[in-house]
Parts: sequence; C-alpha cells; structure tokens
Amino acid sequence: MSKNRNNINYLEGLLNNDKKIIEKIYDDFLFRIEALIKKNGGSKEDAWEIFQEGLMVILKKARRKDFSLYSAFYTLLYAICRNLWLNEMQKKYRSEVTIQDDHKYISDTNLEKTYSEFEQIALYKQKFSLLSDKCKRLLTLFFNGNSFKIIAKEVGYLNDLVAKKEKYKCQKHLIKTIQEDPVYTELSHKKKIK
Amino acid sequence: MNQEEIEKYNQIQLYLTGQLEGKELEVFKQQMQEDPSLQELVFLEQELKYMLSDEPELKHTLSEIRREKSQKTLNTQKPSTAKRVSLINYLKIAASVIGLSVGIWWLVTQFTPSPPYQAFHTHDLPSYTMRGDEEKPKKANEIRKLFDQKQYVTALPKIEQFLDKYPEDQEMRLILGVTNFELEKYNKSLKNFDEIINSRAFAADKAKWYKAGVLLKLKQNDNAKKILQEIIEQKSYKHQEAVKVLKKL
Repeated sequence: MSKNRNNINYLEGLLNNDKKIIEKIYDDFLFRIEALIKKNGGSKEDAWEIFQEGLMVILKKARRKDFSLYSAFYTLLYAICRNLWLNEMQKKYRSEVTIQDDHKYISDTNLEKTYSEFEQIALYKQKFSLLSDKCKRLLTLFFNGNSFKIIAKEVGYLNDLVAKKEKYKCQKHLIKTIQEDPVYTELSHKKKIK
Repeated sequence: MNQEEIEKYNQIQLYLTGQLEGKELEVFKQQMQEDPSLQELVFLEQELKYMLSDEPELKHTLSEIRREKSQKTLNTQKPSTAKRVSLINYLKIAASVIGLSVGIWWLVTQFTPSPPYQAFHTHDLPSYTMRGDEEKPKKANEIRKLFDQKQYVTALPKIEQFLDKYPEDQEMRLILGVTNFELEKYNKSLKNFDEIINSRAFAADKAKWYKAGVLLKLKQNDNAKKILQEIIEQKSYKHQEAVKVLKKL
C-alpha cells in the first residue's frame, strides 16, 4: 500500500481504529460532506450516514493488498460519499439523477478507478440482494470469518459439511449471475484496456 | 455436485487468507497464471469479502463518536431568546458559571460515581447494511434509524410488527429487548434477551450483556454479577466493560 505523506495519519487512524484520529477526520471533513449532501436534497442525518459509510468503504479498500492512495484523503472521501449519495438518490427516484458537485474534487483523474469500482460494487450488491435470505445470511457469516460449524448452527443446517456445500452453491450462483451481467463484461473490458 | 469445484473454492479461500504455504502456494500461483478463469474467481471472491465484511470495531468507534458529537451539539445549543448583556458582563458571568460548573462537576465526579448500569445505555447493535429493493432490509433500516435517534416509543410497534413477519430474526429481537430496556419495561426486556440466549443465535453474546444490565435495574445484583463474571471468563462481547461494571458493584 503506498501513501501520500499528508494522508498517512488519516488512513492509519482508520486502519488502527484510532479514535483520536477518526475524531479528527470528523472535525476536518464532515462539514464539507454535509454541505454536499444538503446542497443535493439531503439532511444532516443523511450526511452523517453517508460519511460513516464512506469511511467504512475507505477502510475496506485500504485493507486490500493492491490499494494505493494517489489522491488526497479528502478527495477520495468526497468521491466515495458523492457516489453513495448518488446511489441513494437514484434508488429513491428510480431514475438517473445529477448531482451538484464541488469541481475542485471531482475533476481528479486519479479517481476514475474509484468510480468504476463503484459501478462494480453496485452490481455485486444488486446480485447479492437477489439471493435467498438463507444464502445471504450464510455468505455474510462466511465472509466475516465464521467457521462452518457456527454457520450451520446459525443458519440452521444439519452440520458443517452441509453448510460448506450450501456455501459453495450460493457462492457459485452469485458469481454466475454477476459474470452473466453485461455490465460486468463491460467493466472487465474497460479494466483490460487500461 | 462437483467435489473438485468445492475444493477449488476452498483453495481460493486458503490462498486469500494466507493459509497456503510452500509448495502448495507455488502450485496455486502457477495455476492462476495459467488459468484466467481461476484468476477471475480469486478476484471475485476477494470482491465479495470486501463487500460483505462488517468491520465491527470501526463501526463501534464511529457510532461512539457520532453519539458523543450529537451530545456535544445538544449541550452547546443556546436558547435564542437569551437576554443581551454587555460583553464584559457576559464574560464575567460566563467565567463564574464555568468556575462554578467545574467545581460542581469535580464534586459530583468525586463523590457520586456513575451508576453501574450506565454502561448499558451505549448501543452498538447490528445494522442492516443491504439496501436492496427488498422489503425486509428496508424496513429494518427504517427501524434502525428510529432506534439510533432514540425514538423508542415510535420504534416499538414497528419492531413488533417486523418480528411478527420475521420471527426468526434474532438481531431484531435484540433491538426489541434494548428498546424495552430503554422504555424501562424491564420484565419484557428480560424475556426478549432470554429468548435470544436460548436460541444460541449470534446475538446471544450481546443479549447476555444486556441481560446483566436489566438485572441491575431490577436490583438483582447477585444474578447480574454471575452473568458479568461469565462474560469476562468467556471474553465475550463487552468483557472489558464488564470488568469495570463489576468493580462498581
């Protein structure tokens, strides 16, 4: 993971769950995200939700081996929160919506990757939401590090072997539906070109 | 079902969690180089993990900061009809008020320790992160929002309706228990937590912690102590908090 020197504290604070640094992130940036959300039809409450979710997304991105922070921390946070809010609005109005941006942050070319990642995540989430409740529960437990024994008990399977087989079925089905979607093919193609 | 396929998924999982070593790791890397479909599966598995992981520690810190900051905002809000005073008088008054408040605060913290059950009013309950078009997560999110805003009275009938429809949802039952706890319906709350504990669901650890809180409110300190002791021994949810609460008892 490579980091811009100015951003090192914010990122490490998130990775280490350092409350003081995380509080500083709130103090330094929340008001700006609040302004963005309010300008685009949201409330203070919405801004808090989106800000919180944005930090979770950054943490998950930073945990990945291939993560590199090329932009300033705030630029990344802005891009993520902006897209989260855009998704919320699109769900609400069930149509394409535009967002009034702060162009200082949105024109950063390093964020292109972040935007296409967002499209991917939206696709995964949509396909995941189509699974049965049992499959969703099973996969969520699995990807949060629970053993098949615990999963079997929690989801109601006879034993860990059955849970393992069911996990395979759910996961295979999910991956298949993702791969079959034209959006996935398009995004994979874009990635190969780059 | 193809046993070989299942094994392939297992290998991917072992690779991503760093459990493949030596020869096995080399062979797997070689296979990935030669087989783009395996490479793609590894990528997708990683993506799903990224999407579905909960990050409970950060979630907890974020909720804590949010609660503290909201409290701070509430405390600093001044009434708009305040009488205007000259700046000097204002500063004099402010200084004496601050001095007096600090004095009172010191006395209060020195001689009246916070009640042991105060720790049980800090909530970091499960959130429903899926935001699909389905009815269940949507309803659960609405309830969660009311709960986070401490609108317990409004939330209660909605939680009960939700559980009528999805009685197996022990996470929502936990929210019901805590809502009853906040509304001081301790006996109902105790029943909710016992149900969760007996179901051995994931939420059972949290239910145990809250059960200790209810018992303290009901002045059943000995029973509460037993549960807190268990929490500490099993290092389960809030075990460090449990040590602090036990010291106060």
